[in-house]
Amino acid sequence: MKLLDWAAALWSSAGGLRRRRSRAPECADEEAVSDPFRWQSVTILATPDEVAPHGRLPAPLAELAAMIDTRVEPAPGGRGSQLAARTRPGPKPDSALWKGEDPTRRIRSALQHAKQLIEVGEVLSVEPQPAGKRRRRAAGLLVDLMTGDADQEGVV
Amino acid sequence: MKALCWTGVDELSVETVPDPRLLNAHDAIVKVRLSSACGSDLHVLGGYLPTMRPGDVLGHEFMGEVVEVGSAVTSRRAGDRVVVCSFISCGRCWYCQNQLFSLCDNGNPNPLLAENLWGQAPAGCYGYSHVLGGFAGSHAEYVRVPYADQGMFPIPDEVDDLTALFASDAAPTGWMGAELGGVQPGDVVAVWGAGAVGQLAAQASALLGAAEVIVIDGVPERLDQATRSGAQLIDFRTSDVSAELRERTGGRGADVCIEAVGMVSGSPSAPLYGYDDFKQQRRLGTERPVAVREAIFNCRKGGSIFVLGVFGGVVDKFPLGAVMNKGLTLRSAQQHGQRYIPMLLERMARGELRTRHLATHVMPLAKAPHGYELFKNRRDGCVRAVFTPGP
Repeated sequence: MKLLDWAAALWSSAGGLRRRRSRAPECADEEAVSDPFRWQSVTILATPDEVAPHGRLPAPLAELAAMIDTRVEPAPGGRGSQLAARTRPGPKPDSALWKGEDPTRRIRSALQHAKQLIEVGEVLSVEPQPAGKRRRRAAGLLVDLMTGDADQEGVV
Repeated sequence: MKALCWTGVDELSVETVPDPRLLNAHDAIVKVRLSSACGSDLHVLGGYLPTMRPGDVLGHEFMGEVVEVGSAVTSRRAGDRVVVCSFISCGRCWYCQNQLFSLCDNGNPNPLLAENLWGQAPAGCYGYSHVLGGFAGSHAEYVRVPYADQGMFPIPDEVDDLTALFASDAAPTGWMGAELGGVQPGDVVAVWGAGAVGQLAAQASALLGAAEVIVIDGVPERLDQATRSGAQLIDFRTSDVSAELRERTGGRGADVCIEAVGMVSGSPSAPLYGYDDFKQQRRLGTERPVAVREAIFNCRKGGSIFVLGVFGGVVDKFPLGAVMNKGLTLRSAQQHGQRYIPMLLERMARGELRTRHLATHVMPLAKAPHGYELFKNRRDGCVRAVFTPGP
C-alpha cells in the first residue's frame, strides 16, 4: 500500500476512533455526557453581546434553536466569547427534526459558520474551483469522503 | 485556462481547467505573472503529505495583477500589481489579531483533516493539499484570492517582479525563522539548508545583527549563492558538521539554529539518515528529520531552534533528552506572511534583501513538469524553477 493510501486511511480511521472514544460513557448518567449531548464550543473574538445580541442566536444556530441548548460566556484572557451548543438532553433526538443529518456534525458546522459570520461577515467557500481531470484513485476518494464532512465534526 | 495539476505521486501535467471565479465578497482574482516551485511542493508531489486529489492545481508562491475584486474588498482594485501571501488568513480572528496569521481560525474550510492529524487546524494555503484547505494553487493563469484585503500586497515601483515574487513565501518564512528564533545582535546563527528559505533566513539573521551566520548544505550552487550573501559555509559532504560548528563557536554551539530543510532532509553522512531513509522509502514513515536532530545537538545550552522546514506527521528518534537537559527553546510555524510582507517589500525596494538570484530557471508554465524535475533532482544548478503562465 502506497503512503498516499496508507496515510489517508489512517487519518480517516483516527477520526473514527476518536469519535467512538468520545461516545464512551464517563459516568452513570450516560446520555448526559456522551454524544450527541456533549457541549461543542467555538471561541469567537467578540463580546457575548455581539455574539448573541439581546439573546438572539447567530443565524446558523437559530435554525436549530428548537433542538439545541446554547450558552455564551466570556473567554478568558481577552479571547472574546465561548459559544457552545449541544443537542437538548432527553430522549434520543428525532432524526426527522434533523432532516436525517447527524446532530453532532450539524451543530459543529453551525458553530463554525456562526464564528465566521461574526468575525468575518461571511462563510469561506472553496468550491467550485479550478481543477484538472479527477482521475479515480483510492487516495483521492478517501480525501473526498473526509472533506465532505470536514467543516462538521472535529475539535472546534 | 492552463494550470499545472498533480495527477498522482511524482506525476504532474499541464491541463486545461475552468477559470476561477469570485466565491465570497472578500475575494479577488489575480492574473498570475510569476509562480515559483517551492521545496515544500516536493512533499506534496512525492505523496509525503497524502491529502491531494488527482487534478488539484499546485503552487503557492506567486505575484501578479489584480483583475477583479469582490464587493467587500476595499483596499485593492483591478490593475494593482501585487504579491500574495501563500497562507490564507482572515485578519479578524484572535490568531490574526495576534499576528499569528498562519494559525488563522477562518482560513481553512476543511478543518477536520488537520484536526484529526494535529488537534487543531492551521490556516489554508494555495495548492497545498486538502489538509490546508484544498484551495487551487498558483501554477495557473488566474488564481482566486480569498480575504484579498488581508493577503494581497501592492509592490513598490522600485521592486521588479522576480524580486517581489519571493515576498510571497520564501522571504517571510526565512525572516520569521530569524525573528521568532530570537536572533539578537552578536549571535552566531546556524542555518540548515541553502535553498531559498535557508538563504533568506541567513540574510534575515544578518540584518537582525547576527555576528556570524553559518549555512549548512551539500549542493555547490546553493552554497555558492549563500556565500555571496555573506554567510559562512559548511558543506556536509566534506565536513563533520558538529565538529565544524564546535570549532567555529568556541565549543559553545550556535546561539540560534534555523532548520530550513523539512521532511525530505538529505545528508547521507548524518547519523540515522540511513534509518530514516529506509523507513521513508518503504512507506513506513513520512519524515526524515536529520537536520532537526543536528540542530538540536549543535545548539548551545539555553539556545533556540526554529523549525521552518515542513513536517507533516510524526518523527522517530527525536532527541528530547537534549532539548530538556540543554534547556533549549524549540519553536516552529508555517509562515505568518501578513506580518512581514510590507516590511520585506520595503527592504527589497532599498536593496537590503536580495531574492532575484534565487530564480535560476524561469520558464513558461507549459514546461512546469520539466521545471519540477530540475528542481527536485537539483539538476543544472536549479535553486528555484519559476513559471510564467502568461503569453
